[in-house]
Amino acid sequence: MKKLSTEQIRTGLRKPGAAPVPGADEFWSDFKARARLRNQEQPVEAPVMSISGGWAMALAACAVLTLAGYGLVLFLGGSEPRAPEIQAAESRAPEIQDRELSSVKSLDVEVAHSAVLVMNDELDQGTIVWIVDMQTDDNNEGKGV
Amino acid sequence: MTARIFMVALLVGFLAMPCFAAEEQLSIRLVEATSDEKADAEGLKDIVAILKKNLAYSNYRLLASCTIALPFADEIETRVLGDYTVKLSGPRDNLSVSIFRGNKRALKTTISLQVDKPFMLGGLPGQTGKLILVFLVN
Repeated sequence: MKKLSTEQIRTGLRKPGAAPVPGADEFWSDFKARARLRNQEQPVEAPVMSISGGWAMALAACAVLTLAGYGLVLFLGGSEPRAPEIQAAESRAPEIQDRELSSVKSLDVEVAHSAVLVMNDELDQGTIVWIVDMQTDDNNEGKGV
Repeated sequence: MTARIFMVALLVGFLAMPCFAAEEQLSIRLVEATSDEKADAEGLKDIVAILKKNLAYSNYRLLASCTIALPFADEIETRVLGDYTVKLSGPRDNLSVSIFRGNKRALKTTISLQVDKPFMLGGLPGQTGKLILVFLVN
């Protein structure tokens, strides 16, 4: 066996392309051969989201309850059905609907009085009903506005 | 299964929260209209402008107040404000109100209350001036 001097070794190492580069097929076949030498664990499958029957029923029940709850709220909170012409007017002028004031539907004063005034303050959004000269049994000195 | 039912109940409760949060309150205030300069409008800031603009009294004083959750828990709600007893029944858009002084009914009325739109019923005789009942839903 030929023995190389230190200088020869240095010169040989500096020459480009000294080490052969294996091709991709050769690399992978070599890799697989080495991999077969070791025991490989079975690949773990990624968990797949699945809905069991119980969960499906629970979600369905939840959806039904939610819809029923909102339906009940709408039913209880809704006002009486309005005539088509009123609905059309409201759709044309929604700002008027927002300005609807509190109002008096009926009033029956059962003690002595001289008049009833109803004032709707559109600007300040208030309604005043004033009973003029209202008198009760123990107070007969009512005064007007 | 118990855990699932618990989670569903939690979810339903969470979804129903806005319904409870939106509960309406009816406040009733007994106000005295007076010419007494010492009267302050404490507790009446939201309505004193309407009162001063529409009535001939310059000063207003809060005498009593109460708040009731809507809809009413009982068929007839009764509240005592000063010398007057107020009996209420029905929904706020068709609210029946009876006002008694002592055992005698002074008046009965049906009103429709809109949210944040005060309704004031005035002219009731008081000790030193006229009294006003202010109904407000918010």
